[in-house]
Amino acid sequence: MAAVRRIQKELSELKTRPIDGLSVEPQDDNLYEWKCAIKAASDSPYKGGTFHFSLSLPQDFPFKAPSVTFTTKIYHPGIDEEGHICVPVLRDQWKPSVTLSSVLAIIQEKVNNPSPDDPFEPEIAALLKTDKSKFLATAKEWTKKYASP
Amino acid sequence: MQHLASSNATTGQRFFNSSMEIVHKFLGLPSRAFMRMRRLDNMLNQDAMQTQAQPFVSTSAQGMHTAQARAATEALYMPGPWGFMTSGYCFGMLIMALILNRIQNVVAPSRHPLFRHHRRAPAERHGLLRSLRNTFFPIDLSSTFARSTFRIPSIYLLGKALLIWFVVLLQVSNLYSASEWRWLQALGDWVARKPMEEICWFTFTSVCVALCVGTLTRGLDGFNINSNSPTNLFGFAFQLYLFSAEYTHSRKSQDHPSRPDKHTVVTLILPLLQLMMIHCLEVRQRWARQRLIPTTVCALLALGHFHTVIWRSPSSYPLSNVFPCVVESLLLGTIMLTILLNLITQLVLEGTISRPLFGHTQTLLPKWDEDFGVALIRLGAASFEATSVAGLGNEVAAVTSASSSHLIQHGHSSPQGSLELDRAGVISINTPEETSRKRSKKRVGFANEITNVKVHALTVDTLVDSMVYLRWYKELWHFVLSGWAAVRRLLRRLWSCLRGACRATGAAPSVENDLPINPTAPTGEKEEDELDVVYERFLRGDALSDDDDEFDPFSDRPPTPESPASTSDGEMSEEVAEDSETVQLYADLSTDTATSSSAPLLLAHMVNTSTSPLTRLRYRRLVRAPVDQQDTDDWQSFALSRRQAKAGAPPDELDERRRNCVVCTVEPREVICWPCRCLALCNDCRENLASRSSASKHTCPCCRTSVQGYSRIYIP
Repeated sequence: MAAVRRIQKELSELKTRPIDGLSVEPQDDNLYEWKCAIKAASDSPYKGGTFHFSLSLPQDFPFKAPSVTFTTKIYHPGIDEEGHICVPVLRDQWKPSVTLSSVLAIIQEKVNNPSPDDPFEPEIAALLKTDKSKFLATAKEWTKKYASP
Repeated sequence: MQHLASSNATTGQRFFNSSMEIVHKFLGLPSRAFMRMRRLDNMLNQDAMQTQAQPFVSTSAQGMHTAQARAATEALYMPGPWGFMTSGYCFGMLIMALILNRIQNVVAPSRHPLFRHHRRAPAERHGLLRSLRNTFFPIDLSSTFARSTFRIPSIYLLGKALLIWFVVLLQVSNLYSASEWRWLQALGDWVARKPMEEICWFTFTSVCVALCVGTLTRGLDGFNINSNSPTNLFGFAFQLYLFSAEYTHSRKSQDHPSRPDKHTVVTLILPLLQLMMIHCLEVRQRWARQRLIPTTVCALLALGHFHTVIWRSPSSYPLSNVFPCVVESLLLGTIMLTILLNLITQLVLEGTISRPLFGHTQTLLPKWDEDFGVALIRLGAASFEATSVAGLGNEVAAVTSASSSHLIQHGHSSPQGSLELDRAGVISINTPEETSRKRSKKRVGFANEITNVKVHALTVDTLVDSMVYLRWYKELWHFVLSGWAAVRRLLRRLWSCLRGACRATGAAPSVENDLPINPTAPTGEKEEDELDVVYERFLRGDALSDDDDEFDPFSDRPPTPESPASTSDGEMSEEVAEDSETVQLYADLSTDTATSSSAPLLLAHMVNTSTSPLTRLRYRRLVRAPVDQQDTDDWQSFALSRRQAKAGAPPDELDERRRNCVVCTVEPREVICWPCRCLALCNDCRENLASRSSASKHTCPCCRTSVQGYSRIYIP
């Protein structure tokens, strides 16, 4: 019960004070499944792309971390083939007082600034380290292919 | 069962025999394949058999001849772990593990929403076939009919196995009396003639089929994640293997195959019954996840049976089932005792029972989709843990910890009240004594002013101390750094003044001070003086020329960071800042006075104090829109927003967020955690957190330090 009320509260907060470049919409029948989309920043390698992901909240939400799955393909060292993203706050650093808006902000930050440290996809990270121009080209190509409206 | 009974009545015994044969032929293949390996096993066991059979024979005089005869003619093997490893049961279990794993990983519900299939026009060529296919596929998994047709084979097999075992149980306990119905008689005869091995193997295969079908349909429903079947296939198979061997049977007769004892049969029937119940419940989608009822019923039956056998009956309980039963009984006993004690405590102290369970009720109550065992373990762990006085379950008493015994201990009477504190809290309070007419009276409550507060600095918390000192050192370092920077700037200014031949030295610092504070209105008199001085320098030109490096108009390379200019980044930016100030002044000047187009360029060169040449890039950067202007805009907008935030509507929401529990964000905060002193939780969420994990893992939801205790806070 507390979970539902908290989720409603977080949602209304996100509606009143939306994060730039990020849209959030819960599924019609299920408050525990959110459909979100990130519009990549103009200075990021994914300029012009819109990346959709789903945020699913567990039944005992504030005590367990939500899980995030990208539904749009993205060439990113921190996001794997199946759309799983590796951010510590969703894994071992979760605590019940973390708000969903801060989680979303962290994800947005991660998407906009791909870094080769602590990668989920080591090959992409290696490419980003050794041959940045090639990485940028591939990222741009993937963005055009999968993430353009 | 009804379906089975009717089929019994019509087709009778022949049908059973034929179907049994078919099933046995197909499913018994691995069993036969391992028969050879088992024979080797038997040969190894034969010696042991001969010796072990002796005492057994001596006890039962009636079965002596048969046992000896069997031991002599055919290999009567003794079941054991090694025999199990080479038996068909083990092989079947390996196959099952593989199949179940594959099903769990591959079968998943479609990610696309189920769309209604459109019927094709019958005019098409392949219309018939396709329409036939379209009427059946895709299967609507929410309809009970489709789900039950899916389960017909497994329910049939399970039901048949249950029926056989039930008849065996009745026969073993001598309750199966010959009745007037002929088919019942025929059924009894048919079951009685079955060898035990065959029954056990049939049961095993039907359980395997049922598990496969169950996992498959659960996969199609999307329930496979985190839901293991409550059936312990390994234990069940081992039991079946054990009791399929004649060696373990207690009832032996000449004309019928031997049977195990009735308690063994009961322990074999109960898991089968549980599986059957779950299987039947899964037929309806709404009930598909209801596990609690069947597992609870079967577990309670098993426990009841266990206890009647142990306490009431002289016969022994099958050894393989003793351990889980003992553990479950102990857990159940613990939970009952805890609940009882909790109720009594509440009744005695409060007069009413407000909390029937010891922890957070909602998290502790069994859920409908849980197994009995899981719920039992959780409740048991909670009754051990959540009631223990530790972590978030430990409500720290307030100042009362300093009791009167401490007072006597620190017996020296002082005119003023004193209090001793350490990091954990108050250690002792000394109340002052008023000595009037030999009678000493203690002052208490608000009358007791405590003037001396003694605080123990524990060496234990060196980390906190060093953190505090670290902060101080950091601030000191910042101070030293900024002081050094100021001195350096002053020196540089002095040096440049000395080099600039006739500059008034007094004017320099004032420009420094005034500009950053109020850069948009540089109208001070000293400002004017400064401008005049600089303008004079500009007019004289020659005096400044040796300050600057020569400008090479053909080199428009941007200055690279590794350029020979040995200035560090910090210096660079400083210079740029300084330059921009001056350039702004020059720009004002030049718009007023200078008419020639080359004037600004010259100005820039004169201003350039760095050792590297002034390139076009740097020149452009200098002349571009002054930075200060933008800064003030930012500052003004920031101040405006702050003012709005202070006066306007939004703070209500912020305040509410600061007042409410960080977990549920609904209830007001009322629990403070020790030792981190985060006031972040409401009591409901505190209970919830406390009953979720063991006390040693209780961490603050804000700072994640481990919690030793908590206090409730009452804000009047």
